[in-house]
This record gives sequence, C-alpha cells and structure tokens, in this order.
Amino acid sequence: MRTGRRLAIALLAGVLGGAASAQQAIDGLVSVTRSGLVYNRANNSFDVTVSVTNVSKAALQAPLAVMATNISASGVRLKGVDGRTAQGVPFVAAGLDRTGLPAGQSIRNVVLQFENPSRVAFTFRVSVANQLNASQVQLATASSDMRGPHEAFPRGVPSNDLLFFNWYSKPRINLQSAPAAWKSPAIGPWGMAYVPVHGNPATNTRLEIKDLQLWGLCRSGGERGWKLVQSYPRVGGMLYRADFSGDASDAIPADLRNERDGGVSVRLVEGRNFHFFGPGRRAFSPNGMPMLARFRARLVKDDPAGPDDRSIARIIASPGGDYWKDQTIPWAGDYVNNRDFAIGKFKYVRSQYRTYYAHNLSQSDLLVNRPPPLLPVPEWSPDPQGLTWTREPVENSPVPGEFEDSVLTGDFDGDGADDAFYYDHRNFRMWVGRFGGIDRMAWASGTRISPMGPTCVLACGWAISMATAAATCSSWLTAAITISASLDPPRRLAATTSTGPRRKPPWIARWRATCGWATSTATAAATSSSTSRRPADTGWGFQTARRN
Amino acid sequence: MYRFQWRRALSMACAGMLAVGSFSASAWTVSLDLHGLSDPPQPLQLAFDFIDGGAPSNTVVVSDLAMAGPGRFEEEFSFGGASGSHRTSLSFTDSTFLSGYLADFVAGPSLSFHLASTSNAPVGDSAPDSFAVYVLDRVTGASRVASTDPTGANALLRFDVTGVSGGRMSVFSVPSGEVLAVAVPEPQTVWLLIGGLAALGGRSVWRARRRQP
Repeated sequence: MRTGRRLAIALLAGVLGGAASAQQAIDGLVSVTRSGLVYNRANNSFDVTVSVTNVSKAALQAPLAVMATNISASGVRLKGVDGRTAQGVPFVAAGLDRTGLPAGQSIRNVVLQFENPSRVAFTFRVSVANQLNASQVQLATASSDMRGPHEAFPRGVPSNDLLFFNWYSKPRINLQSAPAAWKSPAIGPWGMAYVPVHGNPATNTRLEIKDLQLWGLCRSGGERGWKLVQSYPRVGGMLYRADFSGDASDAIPADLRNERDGGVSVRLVEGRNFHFFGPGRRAFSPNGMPMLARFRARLVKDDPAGPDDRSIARIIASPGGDYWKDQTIPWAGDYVNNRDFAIGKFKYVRSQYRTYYAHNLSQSDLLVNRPPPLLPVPEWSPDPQGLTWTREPVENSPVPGEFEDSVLTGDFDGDGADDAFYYDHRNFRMWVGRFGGIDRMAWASGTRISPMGPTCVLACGWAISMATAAATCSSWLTAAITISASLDPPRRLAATTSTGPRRKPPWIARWRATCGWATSTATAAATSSSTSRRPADTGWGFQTARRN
Repeated sequence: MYRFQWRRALSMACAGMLAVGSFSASAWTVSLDLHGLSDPPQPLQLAFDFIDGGAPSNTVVVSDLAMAGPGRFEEEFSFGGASGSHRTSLSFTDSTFLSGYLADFVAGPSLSFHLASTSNAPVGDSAPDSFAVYVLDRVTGASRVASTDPTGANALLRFDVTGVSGGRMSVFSVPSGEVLAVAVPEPQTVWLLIGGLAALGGRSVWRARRRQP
C-alpha cells in the first residue's frame, strides 16, 4: 500500500514538473519545421507550412493545435484560425484523426496564414499544444490548490478560530459525503474573494469571475469519470463581512457588472468579502462521490478609460462547495443545515485567467482521476434567427433537468418580474421559463453560437415574447401552463414534465442510474454555503445584467 | 615535417571556408515546361517573389533567364529589393519584406533560368527567406495554373534559404499538366574550390614523397 502511494506521489511529482510550463511542455515533445513564407494572391495572405513530428515516446492526443506566437509586428495576425486556446491564442487545428499523432510520426503541411496589410517584415514562433498538455496543467493546478499554505491570507478572517476558520491559512478537505442522517441532500459550488492581509493598493481594478462549476466523480456503472453537476458562466453573490458575522442579513449588494466574455466582475470593498455562487442546488445521493469545484478569475479595469493598475492589485480568491440537507432548506447556523466538502487555496488573481480548484480527493486519487478539461463557456446566439423554435407539446419537450447546466435568472423582458433562462450547452438548446407569472414557457434550440453579452438579454426578451405568442396559439401550452400556475417553481417544473414520454439523452439516464442524481432540481431556490448564511429566497438573480 | 604543414594548411583553409556562412551558396537550374500554355499563345505573367523571413540577410540571383522557341518576354517590372532585367540577371535582396519581379510573356515551349543564393540560416524566430515562382494570368493577376502547393498560393516551386547546403527546394506539380517544373541542383562553388585545393595538396604531398630518399 505504501509502495503504491509513493509510486503515485512520484508519478504526480513527475507530471507536475512536466506541467510547470504550459506550452513548452508539448513543444518539447514535438519537433517543428516550417517553410518560408509565400504570398498567396488568392487570399492576400502570407502563408507558411508547418510540419510537426512527435519526438516523444507516446502518441500525442488529438486535437493538435498549431499556434503562431511572439509575432514581432503588431499589424500582423493569424487568419483563418480554427479556434482560440484558453489563453486566447488563436490556433490552427492539425488534421489528425482520433488516434492522434503516434510516436515518431509527422503531420505535414499545416498551413498558417498571416494577414499583413502593411507588408512589414515580421518574425514569429511556432508553438504546439494539445489536450494532453492542458490535462497536465489542470492536474497540476488541482493538486497544488489543495496543498500548502495560501498564497496570501484573507484580511479580516479570524486567524485564531480553529473551529470555524481553520481554512484561514491553508486549504482543507472536509466531508467525503453528505452526513448519513440527511435523507435528501443537495449540493452546490461557491467561491470567496478577499483582499489579502497586506491590503490592495489598486483603485481601478475589478475582479472578474467566470465558469463556476461543480463536478462529481462517478466510480460505478457504465458512466465512470467526472460528470458535470452544475455550471454557471455568470455567478451572483453579495459582499459579506470578512468574518461572515451577521451573514446575509449583514451583507450588502455587490457592484456586479457583466463582462463581454461572459463573466461577472465586482469591486471589492474594504472589510468585506465577495461570496459568490450559482442560483440553485442539485439533489444528490450520498454515495461518497468525490466532488470538485472550480472557477476562473482574472483582473479587469474598473474604468476602461482610467489607469491600468492591475499589476499592483492584490486580490485573492478560493472556491468551495457545500452539502445541504435538502434543496431548499435555509442556512440556520454554522454546520447545521450545510457543510462543505472542501475549501481551496487562496491564490492571487492576475490579469490573465487562473483556474481555482477545491476538491475532496487524495493526491493519489487525483492522479488516477485527472480533472475534467475546461469546458468552453456556453454561448448563445444573440441573433434570434439562429434559434429554431418547436411547437411540440410540453409533455414531449425535454425536461428542465436536462437544461440545468446553467440557469440565468433576471428580469429579461423588463416587466418587473423575474424570468428564468435555462440552457443545455451540450446540445445548444434552451428553455425559457418564468418565475413570477406563469404565463410564458417554451423551449428552443439553435446551432449557431456567438459570444454571450448584453445582446443575450435582448435575445432572451425576444425568446420570451415568442414564447408568449406560442402560448397564445397553442392550446396544449396554455393548458399546461394553467395547470402549473398554482404550483411553486420547482413543483411546477416537475409537473409540466411529469406526463408523457421524456426525451432524455441516453447518457442522462445512465448517469442518474449509476451515480444517483435525483431528477428534480430546485432551480429557483437560492443556494447558500456554510459560510454564506444567505436566506433561501433572496432572489438575487442576475439583475445586475441590466446595469450595463 | 614538410608533409604535416601542407595538411594543416589545407585543413584550416577548408574549415575557414565552411565556417564563413556567406561563403557558402546554393545554385539550381530550373526549367519550366510550358507546352500546355504555349498553344495557343496566351498573355501570361511570370512572377518571382522573394520574402524576407527575418535575420540574417540573403540574396538570390536569377540569371540566364531564357524562353525557348517562339515565346518572348515583353514588359517587366520589379519592386522592393528586386532589380535587374531578364536580359542580364535579376537580383533579389531582403531589404524589404516582399520583393518581386513581374514579366509579361508569351509562352514558348519552355523557360529556364539559373538560381543562386547565399545560404545564411535563419536565426531566432526568423523563418527561412523564401523565393517562389508563379505563372499568373496577365489580366487578373491571379495564378494561371493550380499547383499542389499546400498553401493554395499555387506556386510552381519554392526555394527556402535554410542555411543547409543547397537550401530546400520544393517543386509542386500541376495536375492539369499545363506546366511541369524541374529543378536540378548545381555543384556548389565552394565544393569545387575545396576539391581543387585538395587536389593541389595531394599533388604537393605526392611530390614531397617522391623527393624523399
């Protein structure tokens, strides 16, 4: 047993060492040759062909991304790209099949096209990345985020209260499962952001949070591996006292601002911490499933026209997740109705995105079960023409549970009542519901995606209007809505989907059968955490979206 | 003693010549079979592009540019670091990012030229300096033939100055068969020089041995 543990730790150390530098790691595994530039008159571009040879002893996983970095001229950029890396670097995907690039093999003639309108001389570096490299980086981050002391200690948190604040100086793993006495437990991710003990001199910097996710590790059945439990591209939250005294009743609204890339930014206030979370908990069977929470964060300028003082900004952040007695029960004191499974390391937030992890796996277990890859942010077309509306009866439409990857709430149509906007980014479908009045409901699907932003709100409004029209014209919808009108939101959603055949993707059924997820979700119930003490009906939603 | 000095002098001379990059050079004989474009004669344009990939500098010289049979060159134009005429020789330096030479022509059965370049390898993030040959439609300025050039630029050949002896010559075929490009490497001057020196040295050694009793 000890030998196995040592071996696992040694392997992990090897991986961490290899993952210390993201791009260089894969660049060291390949040999890259490139041709000279040619002038492509058809595209008015300057093109180069690149050959990549796998000089490592193992196959490189597809897709293989070829990037041009360190371009020396500012007016020159890569065109015709296939995508961007998590760091925003454009890349061209090498044409590999699913087997990837075997050891010793080459892929030739990957074409990079440069737009160079001024025809200035330029140099560039060819870099190669692939999923293997990203996986190594995520593994290294997830491992490091649960070990050692914080990068800085949170200001205002009692350092001598080892009962409730033993997370002051270092991350902690808490429960491996919800207490057995909790018969219908639920779960939800959250995060905290503080000014460190030595203060924050920056005055024009905001903290941007994005992609708060909760994952569960399924160890049994046919769907082994990490499963996405909840995902919130945009989070909500409030400014709590640094020591959480007074909890939500003493919390003040946060100055939230929706950012163009889909995140939410906030200005931290002296003496307060920004405690953030998603809008719902998820029902959960206490089977000892390891959990992993994470988000991404970076610094953005508060006033875009103001000075850029992000380099001197000092803000730290950490994720966590809570088990709850059930989906709707409110906070009732420390560790009464909710307890966390882990609190991650407080790390500085930088100008570039960093990923923050909290999980309750051992290091050796983590090595075997590498963290899931970072998913792209769910995106929706701001163009209503990109959506295809269906007129199927409600009972035949997908259940909201399949759309609960993310939920946006807010007054999208400006009628003074909260609306709900669910989406399923695997299949690019959405469900538009309503919390206040129950007279509008429909679902739609679309295949066209583009960045989410303020225009999304307009799309939502349009979608709801279309849903209203559909409701007027379709007797089935009217009937279903009438039936559900007298129910509270969770029951209403369950009722509208309880009759007739459900069209679940097969993996949903298998996953729930093997991993024990309940089929209902209290999407309207507010989430709080062990540290939040937030009442269940604050309904913070995403009202701040309208401030822009 | 006498024999040892000759060997050392010869070795040092060879090593010195190889060490000086600018001394090394690449030379090719290029011919284009234009039968598919010469009957009936068409208004075409020959294009040579020389693109600077970064430091260090290189120079390409095109000489003996000749059109066979009834084909003929008409107006010519050069830009950037290109200069010269098809009647004499063309010189391309990488003083600007893109240097080029355009010559209107009526195709004959074939076209040929000699290509010589310095062989200074790219340093740092520089790409190899690159010389490419195209046949364009004189009216549209687009490539007249589609080649197997993977970039889609439809070059007939591309010569990269890699610093390795001979550079890297890529010849692309034209599936329609209208043009056939062939590039043949020429013996490099430096190797001729080394060969000559070696012969001289060998002869001296042989003569010295003969003098010894």
